[in-house]
Amino acid sequence: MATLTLIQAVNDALKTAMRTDPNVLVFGEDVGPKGGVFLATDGLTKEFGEKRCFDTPLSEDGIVGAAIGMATNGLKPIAEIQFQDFIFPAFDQIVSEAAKLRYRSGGQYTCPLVIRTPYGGGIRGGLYHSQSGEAYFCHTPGLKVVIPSTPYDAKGLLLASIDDPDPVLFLEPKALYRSVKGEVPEGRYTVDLSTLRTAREGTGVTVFCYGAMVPVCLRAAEQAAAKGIECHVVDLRTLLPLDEEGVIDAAKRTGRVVVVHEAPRFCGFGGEISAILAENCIEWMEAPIVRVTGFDTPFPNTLEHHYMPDDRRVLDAVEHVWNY
Amino acid sequence: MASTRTSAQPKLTKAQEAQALLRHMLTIRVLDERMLKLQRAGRVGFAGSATGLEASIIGSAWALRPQDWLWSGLREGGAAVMRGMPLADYIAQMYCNSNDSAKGRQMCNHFQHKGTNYPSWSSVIGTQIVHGVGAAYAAKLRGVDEVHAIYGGDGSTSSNGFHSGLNFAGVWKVPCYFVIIDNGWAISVCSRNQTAAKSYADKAAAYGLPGFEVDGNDVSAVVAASRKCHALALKHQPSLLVLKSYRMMGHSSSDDPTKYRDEKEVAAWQKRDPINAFEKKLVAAKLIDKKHRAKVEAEIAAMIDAEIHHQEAAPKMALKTLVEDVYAEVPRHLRRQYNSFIAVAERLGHATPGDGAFPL
Amino acid sequence: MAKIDFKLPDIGEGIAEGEIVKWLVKAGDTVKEHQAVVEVMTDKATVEVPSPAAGVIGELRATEGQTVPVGSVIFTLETTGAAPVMMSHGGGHAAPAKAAPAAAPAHAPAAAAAPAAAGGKVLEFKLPDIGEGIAEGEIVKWLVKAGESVKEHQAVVEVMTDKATVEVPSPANGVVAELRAQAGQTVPVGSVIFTLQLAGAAPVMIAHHAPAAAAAPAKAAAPVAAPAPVAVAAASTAHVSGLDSKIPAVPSARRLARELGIELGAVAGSGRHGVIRRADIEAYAAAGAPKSAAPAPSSAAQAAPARPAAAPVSVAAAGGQTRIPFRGVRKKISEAMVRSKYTAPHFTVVEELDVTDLITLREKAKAMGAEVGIKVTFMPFIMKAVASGLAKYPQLNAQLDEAAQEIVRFGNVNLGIAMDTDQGLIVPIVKNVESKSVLQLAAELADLADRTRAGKVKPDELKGSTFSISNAGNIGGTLATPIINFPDAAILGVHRIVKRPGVVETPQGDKIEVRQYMNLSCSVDHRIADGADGARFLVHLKKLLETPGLLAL
Repeated sequence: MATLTLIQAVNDALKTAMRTDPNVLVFGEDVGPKGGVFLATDGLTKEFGEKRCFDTPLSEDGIVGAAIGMATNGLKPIAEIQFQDFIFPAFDQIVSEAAKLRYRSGGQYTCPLVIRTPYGGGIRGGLYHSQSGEAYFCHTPGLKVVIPSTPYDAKGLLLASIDDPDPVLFLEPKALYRSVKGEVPEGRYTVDLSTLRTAREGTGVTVFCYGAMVPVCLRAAEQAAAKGIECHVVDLRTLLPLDEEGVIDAAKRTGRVVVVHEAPRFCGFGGEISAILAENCIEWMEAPIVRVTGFDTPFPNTLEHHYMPDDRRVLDAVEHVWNY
Repeated sequence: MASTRTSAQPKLTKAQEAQALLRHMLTIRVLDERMLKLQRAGRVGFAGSATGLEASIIGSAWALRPQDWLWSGLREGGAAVMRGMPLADYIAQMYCNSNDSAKGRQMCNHFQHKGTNYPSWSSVIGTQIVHGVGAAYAAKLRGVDEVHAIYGGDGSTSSNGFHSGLNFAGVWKVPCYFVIIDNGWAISVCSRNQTAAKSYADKAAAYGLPGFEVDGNDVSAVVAASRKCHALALKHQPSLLVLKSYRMMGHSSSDDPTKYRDEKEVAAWQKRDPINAFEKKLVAAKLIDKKHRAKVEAEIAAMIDAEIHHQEAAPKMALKTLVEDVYAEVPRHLRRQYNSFIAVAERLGHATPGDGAFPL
Repeated sequence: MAKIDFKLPDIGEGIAEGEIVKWLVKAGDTVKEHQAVVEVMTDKATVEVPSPAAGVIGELRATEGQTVPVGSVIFTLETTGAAPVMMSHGGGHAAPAKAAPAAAPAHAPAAAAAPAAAGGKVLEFKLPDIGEGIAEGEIVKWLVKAGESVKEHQAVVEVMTDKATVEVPSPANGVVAELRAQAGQTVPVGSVIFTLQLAGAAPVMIAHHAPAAAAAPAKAAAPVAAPAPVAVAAASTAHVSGLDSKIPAVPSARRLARELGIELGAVAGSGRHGVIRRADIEAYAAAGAPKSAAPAPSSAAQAAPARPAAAPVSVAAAGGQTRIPFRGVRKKISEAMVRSKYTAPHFTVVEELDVTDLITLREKAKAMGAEVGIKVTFMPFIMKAVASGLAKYPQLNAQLDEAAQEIVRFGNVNLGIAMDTDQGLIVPIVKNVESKSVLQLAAELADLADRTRAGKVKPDELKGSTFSISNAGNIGGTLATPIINFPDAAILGVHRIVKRPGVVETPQGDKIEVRQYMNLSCSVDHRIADGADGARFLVHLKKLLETPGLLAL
């Protein structure tokens, strides 16, 4: 067991996977000798050589397209997109090709690849180093979308994603890369995809969150507890395919729901949670389903700390539904 | 996955090779003619032909061994048939029926055949070019003997995939070659308006690759050029082979080329019909007689017609195929969606045995 | 062998029609599969259409130069071998044989929907919007019969709308196939009124977006969706369901209320804006009966731990104002009265009754009742008179079912008797008044009043009134214009009895005597009944109550 930051846990997962399966390889911009702009791939080229961890030309379309080709021919590629903000040239390859290959080929061809990318705000990166685009990809059947919030989950979910026979978009909350530390077992283990994690048990208000919002919600929950409101904080972990049953059960537990995400509000993932609950357990709802989200604006630099939901805003929402 | 077949092809005599090439070109010709008739009669929904492109398609794929992969851009279905994709698969896909290996999910003309390494392709132009490069990289890394022939049309040279693919191939030095069949038209946009480069082959230089331009209607020239590119690929030197030809028909059954093309241009290319030219050459060389072509065409037509009738009797598509193959397993939310749907479908009498609900 | 009706296919994506350029065969020609049969020109291209199978051409069904829609039969073919499988029109795949998988079908599926008879398509003619925004029309008179030949522009039917009576002409040459509406019938715009076998090409009809079912642009008010017309008590209507949807309650409260069989209207909400919370339902259920409208913070706190109290408190503010939250009972009454007054156009008729003899009778009845322990007031007599009056004037014992556009007249008389209690205005109901004697009514009324004041009345005693009586006379006032207990058709107000000098007619001439007078006011929903009805009803009551012996008849 070691105490690792989230980024170290990612690195550990990559090394573990590459050690156990010679078909796993890692590539992207600056991931080779430099080890990646966040050091996620630190040491990989040294240990596994340039054929298995290498730099690519500056072409997200090429990175993902090549990964798809590799995946159809016996490899398990892990492509890195340097910032999620830069994934859009690869959007076509992800949505038109990776997501649809199995379906359109009747299962003859499959795409077991992982695309890793740092996402979300919190590092003063402005519009193009802070976006949370999970909603674009959750709207694509055939993809899986996974977001860890702890070092333990980062390693376990990444290893599970690498094992998964379908294309996985692994979004790493960059705000947590170094700010979150946790115990991480050595060697191989996996955390199942499509399972949520109860980060804090409670019977008063259910708070759904993921990524960098998980610690925010836990802080808010502590403050709520001081006011006599016990929050049940749920880390969704896999957005697609979602653990729908788990979400519904967690909501029914309290009947009061708050959903928190950094991404903009309109057509954000919170809307999907709200709809699922409205369809499946509206009669258990004691109050409206409330979302605490980023604003419907591009991501600002100076006012970033106002843009991103903080414990104060989450607490307000918790109290609102509690008192409704 | 890698084929278990050996790389050696049976040795053919000159006559055998010539007759085989002719037969394969005629197969495309007759298939196209029949598929178009089916479409006009309302028996299949859509058909795109390769009339005039037979030499480019057959000739360029002739160099491929069973373990090599052919990444299709659009009109290379005839090459897949040549390499062993059964006619049944081809026609089932045209009918998009329950015999289709893609389970009726793709629109017509989107063939695939795992057994002969002819991967599934989308309708998005150029994406396959990068896939082929990645797959070639995989062959290189895994140390398997494969060459990846990656096809596209003149239009595809403007796509993102062409740029990314050729660029990566050059940097990575993978066992592949690119075949651009320049048939003069990307639907209604002529080649002249696709690029300011004097020849598509010139583009190779930008990526550090050798580029060749060849008369796509001369099947022998095409065979020779693609053998050269194949050999380069075996040495991990990607190259670009541009075949100049002409799309005699419209882009597809929905396109009327008389609206945007000069009939004189079509007539000029008609004189250069690749099958006529090759037949003439073989007759002159006494490798075939004058009756040979008609006989082969009749045989092919009979096979195709028989297969058409067989495919028309395919059983109904199972409704479960709607939600299968999205992922390796059908996830719970999809099972619920399907179960709600099938409850209504059963009530309306649309369901058949096997269509029933998933356990949750 | 099969006979196929060959329909023009969708030659290019989304082609809707094609023009027959040239037939390449004649009727009777033998054709091979794939042989070109006809040249067709579409937006996208001119193409040759091949025969789908080997056989003999039957009929050519379209002429050169004619434009036909995709899907219409252009020729028929008698096949010599198996019938081909044709794609379903608009479908993207070949429709498989309906018969057993291996064999070719005896009859190609495509033939199934071939239009009948010679000539062209059958047009379904829909009643157009003749004037701007007309929603319906009444068929006045058909000017043609089924089977009759008509020319384009020839008048086919007379239709009466709000705006005018007009003649509707045929849109094309053809033969009238079916008349689909009858003279005197009112049909919504957009419904098919006749079908026409077209002789030629189909005319272009403007796509009509038919309005939904109801002809008149009705308010779509559910006939009985009234919230409780009187605060804490449940709805006093014959129907139950629609009521609760107007009362704000959180979803969990609704579910619990439904499971426990509690009417939401009976529960006061402690949530913001008066929303009923689950805790309120739980508290109501625990108490077992309609309780005080003021939410009880303590019981709410027991139901949900650490729930902050939210009782409506009046806050004495500066400047001599007192503010009371507008919720609970008061709010319920408000909603009910608004609903009644603003939906039903009220008119009130008033009659003055000389009840001197009624008072005498009542004294005697009171004594008789005392012998058997029954308290007798004036009300049972009035109720009896009302039952008789409603038998004679059933239009006042009714309701308007707006959704069905029907007036419902009730066969029995269930009288809601308004009572003022500590909990506010409650209207329990005495059922089947027409079949009960005055003493029975007195007994029932007394029992009902006791239980109502004690808060022990049952929910089903609070709903199902067909008519109501409001007696504020014991408090005061000689006249009022009562608000109807919606959705009843009418309500009777009973007012104070006063002594006044009155004129009595005797054989010896008019005399002045001390007489006792009482006013009855009757408010009526003018949508359902008219002034004359109300007046006559009161006249009938007057007759009976002034000579109360007549009640025995």
